[in-house]
Amino acid sequence: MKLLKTIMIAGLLTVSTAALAHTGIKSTYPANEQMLEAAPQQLTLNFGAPVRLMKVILMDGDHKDLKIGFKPGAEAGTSFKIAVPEIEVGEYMVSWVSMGKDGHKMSGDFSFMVHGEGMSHDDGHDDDHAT
Amino acid sequence: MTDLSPWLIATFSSKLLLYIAYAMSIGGIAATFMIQRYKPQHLPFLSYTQWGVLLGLCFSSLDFFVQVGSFSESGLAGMWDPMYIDILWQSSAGLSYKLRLAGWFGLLFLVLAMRLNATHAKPLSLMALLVSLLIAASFSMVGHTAEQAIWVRLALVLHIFIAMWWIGLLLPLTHWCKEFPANTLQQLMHEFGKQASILVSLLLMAGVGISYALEGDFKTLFNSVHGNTLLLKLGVVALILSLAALHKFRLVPNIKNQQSALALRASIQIEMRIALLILIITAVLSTLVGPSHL
Repeated sequence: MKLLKTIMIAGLLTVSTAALAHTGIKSTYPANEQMLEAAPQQLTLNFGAPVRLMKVILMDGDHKDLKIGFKPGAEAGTSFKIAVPEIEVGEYMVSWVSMGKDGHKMSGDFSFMVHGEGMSHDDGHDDDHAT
Repeated sequence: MTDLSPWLIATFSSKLLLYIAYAMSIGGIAATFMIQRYKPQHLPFLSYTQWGVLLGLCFSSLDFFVQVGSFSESGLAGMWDPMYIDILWQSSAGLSYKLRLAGWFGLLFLVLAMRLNATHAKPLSLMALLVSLLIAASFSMVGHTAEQAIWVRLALVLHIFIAMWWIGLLLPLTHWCKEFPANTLQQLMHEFGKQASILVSLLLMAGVGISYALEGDFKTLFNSVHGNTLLLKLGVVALILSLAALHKFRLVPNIKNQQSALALRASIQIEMRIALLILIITAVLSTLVGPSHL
């Protein structure tokens, strides 16, 4: 009886708390710490399961926000492409915020470097991740 | 462990306050329902219930706008960013908030109706208990069970409803210890004990079912912050169950005079503090420490 009770209590306690993997980011373009010959025309963020992408910020080496064409939308998706304005040679950092279907907030960032001349480059599909 | 950002602390606080408001509302209504047999058309703890409902409305809204602010990441003013409000309103967080609003306004309406016409207190309070299930349901729209099978989410609704019914009734019970003569009190407490033993068994079964569906691995109890916090909750729940058993099997059968009633009252007051501790640990578990992914 006492053992049964203990087992039941153990069950009770795991209720609202047990682990369920939250959807992280799967891959990005540019990949984290990728060196690019030419400036990317767009950023790509791929997630493991549908999320709402809530915020994407592109910062230059001086941590200054650059204007990008990102607007959060109510539609959930797994892959997001964001147009990037003409950027120069240098280091860049992207930080993002997303919301999983369960309302959970996730965020992360990744950086890349452009060391060629600012020519356009098609979006690739490297897989590396940063959270 | 997640970083302790101001938003996270705000989320934790609004969630804890929401739990307390929900317990007050259900507890007050359940007390009204229970007392009808002993004091017909009597509306005990109407202000307790009303405060619970009003605070519940406030804290549900606070919880929603704190999430808006946390996602917009643009300071306090970000809580009112129309674009993020719109997106969250359409997400699971919005659905949860809509259910809560429907629940709280429904309760407010029923409580006011009871105030106007106490003769229908029994059916109205029963209806209010059913309406409050909407608020319990709102918790299954967000968080770890949100994407689980329907039976897991139903079990969560049941689990939250019963837990809050129990916790919320403790304050009315302490008042009854002073208000009623020994034999009526004993009868009332006996009835509560009977209801509680059925409901708490359901509470525990629901808990076992949900945890089986979600986890299945108890190793994490020992090697993660989240697991350790969970063990702490386990300890405190064991404590409150022991105390409840002490009341049911020792203190309630022993009610003979005012002195023994006051002894029960003092013990229930301790139970209330333990219950508050459980709510705090639960809010910590669901906001401050994320489940580990081992």
